Amino acid sequence: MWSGISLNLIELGHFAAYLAFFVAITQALAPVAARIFKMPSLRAISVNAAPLIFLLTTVGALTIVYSFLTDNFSVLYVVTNSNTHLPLFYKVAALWGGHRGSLYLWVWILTAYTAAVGYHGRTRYPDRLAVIMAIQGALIAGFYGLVIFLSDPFTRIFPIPAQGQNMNPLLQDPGMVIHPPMLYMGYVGFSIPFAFAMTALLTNWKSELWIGHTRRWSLVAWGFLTAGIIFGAWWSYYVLGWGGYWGWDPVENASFMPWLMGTALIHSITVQERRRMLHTWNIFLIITTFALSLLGTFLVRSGVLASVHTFSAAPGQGIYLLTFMVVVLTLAFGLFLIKGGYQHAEESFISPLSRESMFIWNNVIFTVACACVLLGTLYPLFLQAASGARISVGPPYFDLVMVPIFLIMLVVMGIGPLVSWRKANLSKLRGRLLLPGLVGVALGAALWFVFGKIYWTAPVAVALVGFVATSIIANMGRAIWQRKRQHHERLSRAFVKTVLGNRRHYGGMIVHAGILVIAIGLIGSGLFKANKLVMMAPGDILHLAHERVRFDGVQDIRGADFTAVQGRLTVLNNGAQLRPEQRVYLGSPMEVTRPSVNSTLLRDVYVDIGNHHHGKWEVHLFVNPLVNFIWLGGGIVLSGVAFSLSDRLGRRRKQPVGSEAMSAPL
Amino acid sequence: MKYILLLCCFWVWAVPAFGATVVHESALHRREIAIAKTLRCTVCQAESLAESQAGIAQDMRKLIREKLRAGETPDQIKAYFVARYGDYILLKPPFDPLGAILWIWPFALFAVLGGVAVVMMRRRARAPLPPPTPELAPEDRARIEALTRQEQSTDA
Repeated sequence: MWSGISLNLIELGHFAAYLAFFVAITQALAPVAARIFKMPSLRAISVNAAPLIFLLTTVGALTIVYSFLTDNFSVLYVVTNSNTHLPLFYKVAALWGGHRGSLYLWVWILTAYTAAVGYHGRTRYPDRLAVIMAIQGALIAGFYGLVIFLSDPFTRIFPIPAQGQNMNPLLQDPGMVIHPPMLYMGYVGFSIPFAFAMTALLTNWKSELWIGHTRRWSLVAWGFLTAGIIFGAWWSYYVLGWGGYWGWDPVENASFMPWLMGTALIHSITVQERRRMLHTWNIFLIITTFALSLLGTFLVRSGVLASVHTFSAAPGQGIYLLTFMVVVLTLAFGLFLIKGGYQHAEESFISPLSRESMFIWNNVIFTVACACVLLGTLYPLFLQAASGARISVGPPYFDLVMVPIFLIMLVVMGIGPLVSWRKANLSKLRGRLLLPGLVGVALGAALWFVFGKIYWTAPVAVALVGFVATSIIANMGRAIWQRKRQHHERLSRAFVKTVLGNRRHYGGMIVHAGILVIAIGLIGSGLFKANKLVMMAPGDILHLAHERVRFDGVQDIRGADFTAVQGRLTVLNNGAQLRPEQRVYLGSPMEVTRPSVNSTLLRDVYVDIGNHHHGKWEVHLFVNPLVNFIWLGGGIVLSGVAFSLSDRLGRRRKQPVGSEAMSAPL
Repeated sequence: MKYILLLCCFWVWAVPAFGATVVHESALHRREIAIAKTLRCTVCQAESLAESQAGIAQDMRKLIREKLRAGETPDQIKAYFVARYGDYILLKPPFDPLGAILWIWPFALFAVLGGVAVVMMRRRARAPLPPPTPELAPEDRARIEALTRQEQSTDA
């Protein structure tokens, strides 16, 4: 009696989720109770609740996964998102393949982060941990309320249907398995800096004691958010079949906004650590970043915007999420207005030409970028709600507005790391800018010369990428050379010592390099792409951008839970076979296009197959140069984040030696 | 000479194509797509007419093609769609009373935030340094020493 067992298990999960909800409420209230009843020992409840909530939520998640694996169609969520033919891989991922489950994943990740902070804080910030945990507990309870009362993934359905509907066909791709967890780890991760900042405001926590931890947690969240966005683009590119990876879709924008503010944040925190200023601004950035994460969740999950990301959602959920968001942000910004200035800058600004001023310009630009995306995304919604007038803000607008902003970012990115803290020496700076400037201009001019008639952004962007890359390399070379001379070391040793000795800085530089690689990919695929849509009979050849592709015909194929017409094409230049498909999934009337891609480092040949008329098939061929640079750059960015985070670990291992040395004179 | 060379190159390049029809995309289609990219599909979310698979989008693309054949300019065609569907159909909002804020916003924001940054930096540069942190109170110093001792004992 398999079904008998799983019936019990899903109810166990349901019970665990309810229990977790109440424990989260207790977690949120414990420090308050401790204060009211003057029983400080109650604060321990908050800290100890964290692993318990995580455990209970994990039990709930595992029972859902188990229900998918055993095709337990008495669970509504399983019926609507799976059937017996769904491959095993996707049955596990189906946990976040629908609306209810994806909200559950949100909460699950939130509880995991909370447990992680609870563990991390036991030795590092035990005095404030209870308050941090209480704020996290309040957020968990808020989201659990939504999950349990309005979008319960444990809901049962009777009579039990014999077969389920299928998972959304567009989501049946390995990219979908990775993209949502990564993105949520990013979104949710920014709740931790938020909890730190709230705790600091509530308890007058001296910022030197918490900003370092906040920086690391922010960096973790930022890394996951970056990975989530890149995987999302990757999925969009390889699955949706429109030949692109970023369409300024409101939902994409919703993930891009916290990324922009998070980027401003991780730069701005450095200023506070090094120069003890911008305390208030950093708290504002932390709250705003988390606010945008909440806004993203609201936009995607409420059904305000419909897209591939929005699963059918009941209207009550939108109102719940909106109310929750308004309450959290009113409290947060209210607290910020009352106590935001609890700590003043302790050092004064020395020169408008200094590293700190460059970081401030970085913040200005990223804030403007974020505000532009925000207005472009929300203005049509507001306008429609306010006056009923409908306008559209689409890719042509965003490309026109955002590309210049990105170019300005590159300028600051090239100059910033060359400027020294406090007060830069102008003539020295000029000398350092000379070589990168020349290299950039030369590259831009070369591109202009080779391609002639191109849009102005191409040579400018290439020039800036060359400029920044040279400035990174030159800066690093200078540091290594200096060390080599001072310590009389071999070059290789000086290199290793320099880079390993300042992981934060060089981790950041690796991230910058990764961003440059992504920029190269964006320039190539954005400005030099080509595509043709034609009708082809078997044997026909299509020429596009030096690529020749022959159409060899079609065949019918059958997959685990779909049937498809598969096109057969050959790239004549390298003999690669392309197999684009037009699939029809079980339980779904729509046809789903699956592109096929022949990918090399320098270009992708990307093809879709469409309908046929009179023995000819519609073939949509794209040649997208340098797309792989985007994924490669994403990998470099993530490795840079990891390298930067390895900083503290390396130092801790060395610590015993240091403390011995210190204790010697005593 | 140059032409013969070019021809040779082309011949080598085109050899495997002998005996097969080389398909071309019509210039008309190219112009049609260029226009379709600036217009939104009215039944889809956030998709242009060029990308949408919806039936109505295909009909609208056909209409664009017919109008191009009839010799209308892209601006005339866009104006036709705006007249029927309103500004909603344009993916790039026009600079009119409703859309103007979208175009002014980036510049205004840059000006305001940049201005605030400059003023703040100036003011901070002139501001006197805050008083140095006061000496540690004896009980704090005792606490630090106790903590240091505790840490050393755990290290050992």
